[in-house]
Amino acid sequence: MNQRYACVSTSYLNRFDAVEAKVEISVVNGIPTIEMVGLCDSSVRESKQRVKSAIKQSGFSFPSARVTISISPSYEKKSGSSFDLPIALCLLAATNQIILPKGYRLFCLGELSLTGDIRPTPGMLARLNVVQDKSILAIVPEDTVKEAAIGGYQVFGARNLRQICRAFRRIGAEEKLEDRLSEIMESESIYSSSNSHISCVGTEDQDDEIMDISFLKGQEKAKRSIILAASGFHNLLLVGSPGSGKSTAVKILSKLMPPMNNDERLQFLQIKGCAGLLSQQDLSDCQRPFIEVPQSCGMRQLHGDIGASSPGYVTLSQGGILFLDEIAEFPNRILDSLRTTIDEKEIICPKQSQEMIAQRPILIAGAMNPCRCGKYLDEPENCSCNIVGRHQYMNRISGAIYDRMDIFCEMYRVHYDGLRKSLSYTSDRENQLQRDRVSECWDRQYQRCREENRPLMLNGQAGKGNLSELFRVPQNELDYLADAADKLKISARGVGRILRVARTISDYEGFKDVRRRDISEALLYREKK
Amino acid sequence: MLEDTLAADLFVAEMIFKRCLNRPLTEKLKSEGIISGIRDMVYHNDLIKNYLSSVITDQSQKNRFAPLCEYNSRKDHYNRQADEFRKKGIFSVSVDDQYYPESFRSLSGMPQVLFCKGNVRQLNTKSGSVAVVGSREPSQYGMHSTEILTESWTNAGVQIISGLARGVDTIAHRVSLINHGKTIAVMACGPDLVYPQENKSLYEQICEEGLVISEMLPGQKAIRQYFPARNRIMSALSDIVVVIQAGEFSGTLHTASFAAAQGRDVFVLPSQILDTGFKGNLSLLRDGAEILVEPSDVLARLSGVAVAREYDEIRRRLKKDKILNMLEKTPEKVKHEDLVDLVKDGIIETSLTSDELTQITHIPFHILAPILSELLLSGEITEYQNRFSLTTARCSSI
Repeated sequence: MNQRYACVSTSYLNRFDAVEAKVEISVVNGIPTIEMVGLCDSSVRESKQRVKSAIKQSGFSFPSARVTISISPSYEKKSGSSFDLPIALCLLAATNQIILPKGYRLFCLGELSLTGDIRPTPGMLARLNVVQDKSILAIVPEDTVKEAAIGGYQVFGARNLRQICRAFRRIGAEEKLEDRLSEIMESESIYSSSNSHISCVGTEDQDDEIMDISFLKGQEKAKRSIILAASGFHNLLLVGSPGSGKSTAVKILSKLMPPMNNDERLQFLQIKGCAGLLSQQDLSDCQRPFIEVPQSCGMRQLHGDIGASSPGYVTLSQGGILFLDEIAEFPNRILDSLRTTIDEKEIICPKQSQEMIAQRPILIAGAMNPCRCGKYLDEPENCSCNIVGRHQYMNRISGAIYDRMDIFCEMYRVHYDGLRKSLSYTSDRENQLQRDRVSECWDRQYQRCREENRPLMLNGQAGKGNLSELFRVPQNELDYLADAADKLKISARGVGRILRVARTISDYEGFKDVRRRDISEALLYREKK
Repeated sequence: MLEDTLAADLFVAEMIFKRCLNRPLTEKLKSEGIISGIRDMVYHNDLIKNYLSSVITDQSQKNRFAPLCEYNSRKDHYNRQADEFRKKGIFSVSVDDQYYPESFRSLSGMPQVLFCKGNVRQLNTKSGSVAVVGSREPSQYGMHSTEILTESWTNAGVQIISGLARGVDTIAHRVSLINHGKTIAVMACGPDLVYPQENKSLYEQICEEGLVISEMLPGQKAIRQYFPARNRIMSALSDIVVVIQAGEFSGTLHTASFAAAQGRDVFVLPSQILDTGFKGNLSLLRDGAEILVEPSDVLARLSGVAVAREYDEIRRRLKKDKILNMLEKTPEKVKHEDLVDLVKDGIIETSLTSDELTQITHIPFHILAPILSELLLSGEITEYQNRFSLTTARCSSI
């Protein structure tokens, strides 16, 4: 026997990123052994058995020689089962049982069943993302073709090993393959990603009767608050008695957000894919993430666990809303940990102390009762809490999140007339109208950032820096605000928040400069101690 | 044919005093459509003449009402008088004028014509008014209390009403003027004369910086029997009546009973029980008047009363439906002040949240919000427990 060698490109997942890798196989005379090198962990080493069985079941022969499989880069730990297919193809090529198509670099990945079927692996988008060389012939499990299509990658999806080998046989030693490649592949039922149509479900189709903003009739302040929160991506806190509609309002807020653009969507799908959380619905959904954090959530679930490679709620909610219902009932350390997320836009995974920069802004929405018994706003005379208790309850979240909320809004239970209205409620279908306005508002904000040569961001995310300059506030309006801050005893940070909200109001109404009435209105949403 | 309003009012007042003209008659004439306001007595004198001759059959009655029909023949006399008085700075306010005190309209028996000298706007002042009455020979305690109380009230922007009499009245007026406050002197004689003579310089100062008014015709000398009647005007013009010192049978007690009849709160200064000069005070207190311990007692009560009165005015002025209609159809045309009035009107009775205000006034929230903030900042409304209400402490010192 001669010395035989083959190599194939692939990629594997390392936490939330993918890494490009190369599988090399060398077959040499000697005692039949299979050696794997390249810091492979046990899950990779198990490939040996699967590959052996798959090859044999597919009608090929497994060499009786010394096989060395090397996966590079050799200094990185590898795990996962996606090396099965590249190893199998590489081995078949090394033993001259198939000929790899010339003129193309072969890129493949997938897990093999014992009969040679190719199984899907998570994180397809991420894996394809890292491949530098675009002139590859990519063969991936059939079930992941849709995912790849969203990312705009040209891949072929195969169902089993036999298909691929038959296709390769037909290709033979042909040069100049481009035109015939798809034809040949398709003849073996290996379909390319350009055939799969992914339509993004428009957000209008997802509007339903109940979750329309017109449901908030009678709670005009809340209605305006969520529109402004959506328009400027401001953190929002709703305070109200149980049953006053806070959770509904936040859900409606999520419906008001414009759909994600392509980049955001790709990143979102990538993260979810890596975590193995991708569902069919996610692929066709354009809506921004809306994550409701359960009360029993722990630090690991919130921020993610690198060891287990699971992204936390915070990571998953990037570009969308992180909703904390009954925010005052969350343990202090959980709320404190969110502080750095909001401020530094970092996500700190607690176990390994690894940091991930939150690339997209997160809107934190909170809902809470005004006091322990919940009656303080609607029926103050029936409130069974004393003053100290009430202050303590409000203080539970002060400092940590309270300071970073831009918009505060009280919600009252709708009175009898309002209830009657809601029972005979018919939606006005206002959601689409508001969504369009919010979209326009975002455009105006981005436009302003472009004009000022700053990175694109929305008002609620504008952190440090000279806000009055960035926001184009005339001097006399600033004086008015300073005066008001004096009279109403607003802190410096509070002034910054009011400016941001005022700027959003101007943008929503379509004015270039902040007007006095915008500042006056923004004053109503300030925090109340 | 625009007659001289002062002349017309002089005629009308004279008729009233001669008992030719009284309210029932005016009402009758109004219902017949002959006159629309009291000054029309002058303008439509002929019509009245005809009407009266047709209605009144009895000869004695005819004699009584004869002077009513004589305006046209005596026109020059009235015009001359008017010119003379005008030179002295006197003008008149009749019931149809815009400056007529609103507080008179809801009471019966109030004069329909007033003769004044000074700043007419004080008749309808927005900050509260307090009538200060007391004995002509007050004790040291009475004098000192008057000084302290009046000074405090004046500094809070309250208008002081009194009668320019010796004693308590003089002190009240003087302290008010010294502290650059507003004061009204209600005379028992015509507004051009001074009684008592020793207050002449004070009178002149009030003509300059405050307001002097009288029900009496200019030139009329003070009549003793008239004084109690004058007191009813003092009480009607004010929001609260304060009794500093009253003896057992003093004239001040009349003022207190007028006040009670008119629905005004009466605050009485307490005294030692053995002090005879204050026996009237003690009996008023026993009868249910409020005890005056410190200036803020009155100030606190004042605000509630004044607010209610001011917003009664707003309500009447307000063409609410018209504004709401405009808001719906042409929102840009609605005036800011009208919106502000709508808002204030909404929270007169109770305190409301911003959502409730939106429902009641039908102003869209994004238009309502800046108005609320601006009113909050200017101090006209306050917020408590997220509910907005009109600021009750309207005087600046609170």
